Amino acid sequence: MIKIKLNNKDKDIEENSSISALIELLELNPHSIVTEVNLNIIQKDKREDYILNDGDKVEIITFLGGG
Amino acid sequence: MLKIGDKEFSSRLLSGTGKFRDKNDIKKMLEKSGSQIITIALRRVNLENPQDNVLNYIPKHITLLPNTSGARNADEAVRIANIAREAGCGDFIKIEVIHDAKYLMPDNEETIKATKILAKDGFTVLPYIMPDIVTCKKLEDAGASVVMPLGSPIGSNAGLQTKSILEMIIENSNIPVIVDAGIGLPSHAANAMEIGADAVLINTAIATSSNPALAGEAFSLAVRAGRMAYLSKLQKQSQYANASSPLTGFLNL
Repeated sequence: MIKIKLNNKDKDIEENSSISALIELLELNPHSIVTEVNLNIIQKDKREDYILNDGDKVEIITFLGGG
Repeated sequence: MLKIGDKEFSSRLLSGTGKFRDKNDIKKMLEKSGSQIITIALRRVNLENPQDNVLNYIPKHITLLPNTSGARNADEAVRIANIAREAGCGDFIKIEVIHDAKYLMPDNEETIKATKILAKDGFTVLPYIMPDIVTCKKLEDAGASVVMPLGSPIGSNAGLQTKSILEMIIENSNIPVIVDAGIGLPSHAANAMEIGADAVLINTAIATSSNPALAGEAFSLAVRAGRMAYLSKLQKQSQYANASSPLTGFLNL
């Protein structure tokens, strides 16, 4: 297991997990979110190949109503 | 036409997606009001209870105006802007830097900083500000596409409490002035347009009404009426009467 910061909270995940695997684990709709690792946006088509490392800061962001 | 960045809009009513009880009302409101630009916000996904993405409720032909709400300084605003652009929302960005929780007043200084960075980076920048002429000039120099001074505090429905300063800004601005925040009634919107605002941004008043589509239509008519009044150069108020009929007696000419 490795430890990442997910939306500013500690989270343990399997080693060699991709972002896509994390999204699946969290049961999120991959089309309605933006993913950022260590302040870099990871585009939708790169998520499958992007392997997370111990200590990575992952942000999962979505669009909400706002004025 | 209202020109913002390299886009032109026939509607001078900008709307927002906040506070709708039913997100399906957003589409109906856009149809009835004719609004062509709508604001959205970005937030971390609540992992325990993932929210519905608001983009699913906005028709594709509408121009998205992501805001940087949640940003407390220029750096955070720049980061949010970049996420929005990378996510495919286009290059319009409403800069909103707020750390005053009571009145939600924007931080003009940080807003100018963020505008400089983002305009240089190719964004079409629409900064939300506390009405101030000096700030407006600095924003113009920084590359802002418009300025968006507030009428009164966000969500207050209190109307144009800053009217005399708005008039000075409108008189002196070389870029469009969009009155944002506090407009609670169509008469407020009409008044903003009568004094020469180029557009208004209305979210709360429309979204929290019991019929957002109808309210949107009412505001859109008010915006058009106010714009026409401004263009037709209506005359100023006078303390005395000014006869509309000939002042001679009926029979003795």
